[in-house]
Amino acid sequence: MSQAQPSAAGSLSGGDAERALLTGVALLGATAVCTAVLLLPDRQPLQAVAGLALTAYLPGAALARRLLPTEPSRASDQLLRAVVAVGLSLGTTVAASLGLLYMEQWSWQRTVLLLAAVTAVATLPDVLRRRWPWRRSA
Amino acid sequence: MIMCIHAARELSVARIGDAGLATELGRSYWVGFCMIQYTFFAAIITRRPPSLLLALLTAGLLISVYGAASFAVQIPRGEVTWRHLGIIDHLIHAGSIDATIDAYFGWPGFFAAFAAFGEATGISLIHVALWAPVWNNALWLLGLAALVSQLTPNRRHIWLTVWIFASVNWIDQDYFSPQAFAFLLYLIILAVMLRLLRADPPVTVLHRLRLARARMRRQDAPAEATTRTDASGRSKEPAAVAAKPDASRSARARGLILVAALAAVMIASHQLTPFALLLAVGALVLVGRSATPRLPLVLLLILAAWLILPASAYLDGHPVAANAGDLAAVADKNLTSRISGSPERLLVLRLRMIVTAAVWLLAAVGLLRRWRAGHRDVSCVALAVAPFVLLPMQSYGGEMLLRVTLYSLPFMAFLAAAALSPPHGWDILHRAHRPIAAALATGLCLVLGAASVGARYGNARFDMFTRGDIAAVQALYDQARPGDVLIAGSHPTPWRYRDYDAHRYLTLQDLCRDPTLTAQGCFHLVHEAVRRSPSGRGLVLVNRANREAIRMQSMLSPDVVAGVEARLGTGPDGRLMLQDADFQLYELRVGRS
Repeated sequence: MSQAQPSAAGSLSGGDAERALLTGVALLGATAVCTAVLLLPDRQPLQAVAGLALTAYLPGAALARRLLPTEPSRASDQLLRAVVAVGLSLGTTVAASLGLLYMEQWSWQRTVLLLAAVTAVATLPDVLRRRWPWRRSA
Repeated sequence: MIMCIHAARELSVARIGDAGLATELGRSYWVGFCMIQYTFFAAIITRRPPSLLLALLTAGLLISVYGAASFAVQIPRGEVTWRHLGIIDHLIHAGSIDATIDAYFGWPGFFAAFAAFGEATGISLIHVALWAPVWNNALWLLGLAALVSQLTPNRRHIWLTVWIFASVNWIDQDYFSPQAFAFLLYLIILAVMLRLLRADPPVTVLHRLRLARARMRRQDAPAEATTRTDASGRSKEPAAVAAKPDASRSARARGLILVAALAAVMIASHQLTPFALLLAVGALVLVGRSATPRLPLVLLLILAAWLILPASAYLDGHPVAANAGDLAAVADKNLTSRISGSPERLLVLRLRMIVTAAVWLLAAVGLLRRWRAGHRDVSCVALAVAPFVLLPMQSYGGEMLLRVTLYSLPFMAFLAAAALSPPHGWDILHRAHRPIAAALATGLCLVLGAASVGARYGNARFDMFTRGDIAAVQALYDQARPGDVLIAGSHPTPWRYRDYDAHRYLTLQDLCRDPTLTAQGCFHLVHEAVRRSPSGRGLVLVNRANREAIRMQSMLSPDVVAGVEARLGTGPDGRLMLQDADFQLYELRVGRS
């Protein structure tokens, strides 16, 4: 039996909870892949895409899930969440890079690691809290 | 769109006249532009406007209008873009922030982000800067759509607002810059406020004061009933102030965190936009549309903290409200002193004023129409008007009027969209009348859009650079040594993209601003500037863009520049180092006796 989990949007139906879990896992996976692509010693062809995703979307998407209560049925809410995700990502990049510059510890690799950490911290608790399908059937 | 791109690619900067890019774009560009405008309005009057087609057309308009200069020369426009690239280059190499260098280092958020972005992605920031007007406008339109969808559920109205904004945004603040980034945050923050922090029903400041007074009275008289009730026993307190369910409180708290976080990023990135945000948020509180009346105070505290700590090095000697209340100085810097130059340039300047006035007029008509139809757009009007309070505060280097126009444009576009729609909507309009109404709207948008292209690219003769202009600056850097003072003829010069703090950068335009100065007087000032430099050596560059800017803007007499050049080329302490068809580079050495 699927169990609804309380979230920013109030209580979620079983389908919504599963979708939220999948989104969380996808965000974590994408962050891991992007970080790996960026930090590998050789410059990768996908570096531009990975860099763009990590600086301009992933951290914000993770934070927006926690901070922005939306009604999935409202198109305007979906648009707002997407725009807020971009704004928060760029904002996180500003904060991470600026913090390192003021501490005189700046390097783009450290900034990337900080962005990945923010995404993980924002996503992991929600993913761990949710009931995974195999746990549910057990 | 393909016709527009093809026409733009055919352009040559050498052919551009004083009236700017618009007159040189060619017939095929304008045919393509008309087709985009016509197709949009043909699509929007259908019973179910196709979102995908409208999105594609909007993308086409963005690329055609905001990418025209990039297709033409493949070199980023404007001096400031190059300077911003230099600041990022400096941060990457220094790995720290020295707030004493200049104002940019007091608000370095945008530069810090793009230092990481450029290095992480491996994408050349020159390419990012080249296409910045297109991607900035694309992001703004997304932010605008998110914002407007909080003001109306009507999809047609949302699309029309987006279209009008994209068509009439001549203001040219969408280049690679902190203000473009801050404007995106401005749109997002206001969208979040209208979604999560909206007072429903509205509670004005006056109402809040009355409630506070009533509460105080109740505290003084505890035996009395704690809540006033009407005859039916219901509470008379407005819903927004009365106890809220936990879910609503939690949403509001999250909204507050979100707004404060985004505002903090904005405050770290740009000097002016946070003040515009403060006014906008204050206006929403004043008209009772904000459920968080203390938010302006929170923003003010973050702003003050930034000004006192990281930005304090710059603020010593540069007060925030330097011209506060001096309306004459503000008017002079924003209007009078800007309206000068060749006849074609004056035409472009008038065109800018006409487009702005026309959009404001359309907005007024739209407001009236919506009011009569029963819509009370109090939030929208408050947000459209609030930025104008900035005008008497600061001249902002003569750019305040431009910025205020930009901050109010989203809301003016929203109201103007109502003026372009039939009073009772497209669906109710008789089938036979629809094409007529659509043709009128197309015509109006077409005229305003074309005028905006003219207004936007009016400085193209000197703010679009040729390969020769870039080569001239490259030659300047090849000859420069640390401690040299570098002097260009005027703004714009595509320099400071490297060696940001290794030199002092000046222009003849700034040095010899006094109109009574002769060539000899101007040379004396140049001589003095070089004498004060650590190396006692100065390089003076005069290139094509400089000469065009001096001639068109009438800020400095071309004779004075010619006199200084003659003195530099023939004097005992100066010499002509390099010259090309597009530039002359002089060296001036000054002894320290």
